[in-house]
Amino acid sequence: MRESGPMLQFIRPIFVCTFLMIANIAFAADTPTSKNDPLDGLQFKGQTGEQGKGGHHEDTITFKDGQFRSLDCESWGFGPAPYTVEKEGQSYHFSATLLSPDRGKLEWKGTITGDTAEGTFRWLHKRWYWTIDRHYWFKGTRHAGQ
Amino acid sequence: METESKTLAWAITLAKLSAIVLLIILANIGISWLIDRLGIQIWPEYLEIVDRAVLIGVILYIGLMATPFLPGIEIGLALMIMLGPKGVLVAYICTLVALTISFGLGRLFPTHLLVSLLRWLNLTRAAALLESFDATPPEKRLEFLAEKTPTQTIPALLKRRYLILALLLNLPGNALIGGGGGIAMMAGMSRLYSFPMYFFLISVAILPGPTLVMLSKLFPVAIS
Repeated sequence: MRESGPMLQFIRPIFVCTFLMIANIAFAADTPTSKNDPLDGLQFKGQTGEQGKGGHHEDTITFKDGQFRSLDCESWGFGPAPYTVEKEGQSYHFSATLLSPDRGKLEWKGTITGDTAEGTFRWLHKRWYWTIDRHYWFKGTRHAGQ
Repeated sequence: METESKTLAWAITLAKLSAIVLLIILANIGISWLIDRLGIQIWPEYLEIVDRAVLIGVILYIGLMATPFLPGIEIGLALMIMLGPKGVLVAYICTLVALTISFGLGRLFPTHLLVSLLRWLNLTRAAALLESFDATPPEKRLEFLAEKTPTQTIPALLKRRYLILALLLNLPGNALIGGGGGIAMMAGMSRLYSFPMYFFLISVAILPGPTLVMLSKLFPVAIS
């Protein structure tokens, strides 16, 4: 078996480190850290319901340490998940996918303008009969921290 | 004179089929409206209820569909209308399973056992029909079924046994001769059909209902 030369052994770690640094910079552009995240620490409380229907119950969404949470969804097993944030004028668009071990996933998308958060989310869950695909809305206002 | 009566018979059949199509579309619109009005919402927390409801619905539907003289096809259509395109495949598979069970029962069990079972279930009409069917010689059995159909066009097709079975399954008013479950059971009892051919035939023959529901859901504006 041919062994790699001393030069290659020296260069390889440098390549790996450079690649990891680039990947980290690219990832950091989308996923906020608490330092550069304008949403960090915010929480919104409001009504949620199925698309095209009235409010069903109250929910609270939070942004903390790069993690998005929906307190109501959490009670059904959808844990916190990283979110992406993008600024557009005075608004911030966010998105996150919450996963549950036994209830599929929730794909959240929303916009925060001032003290108001409006969003939609989609519940996808594969069953033996068909894939459940339901759409919901959320509308909340900024709520004082925990 | 004879041509006129044939045209009239076809016109009546066409009118009946159109009435069924219209009924499906109206039921589709009505049920969607009702669900919207009731404001029923499905959330992940109700998953167990949804799973159970679907399972019970499937078992019930297969049971109803497989039993002679029970309105399985109508329930299947209602199920498809309520669930929309995603439910069509489930209802289609359930119909296949139910018609296969009925055929298997007809093929495997002696007639007197089936008749006793139907009598025990208080389905006297179905039991009487099976008894008369069993008493008919095999070569006359298709004729026996055709005589009981509410249309004049069937006897002309008697020699095409697979075609006649497909027609009987789709015939408006086929409840008179046992409905989907009864027809499938008698097909099994008659021993005129090989199982692979029978299965292929019903796979195709029961397509019109699901196709109509799919079309009415996919193109609601164009159809309604």
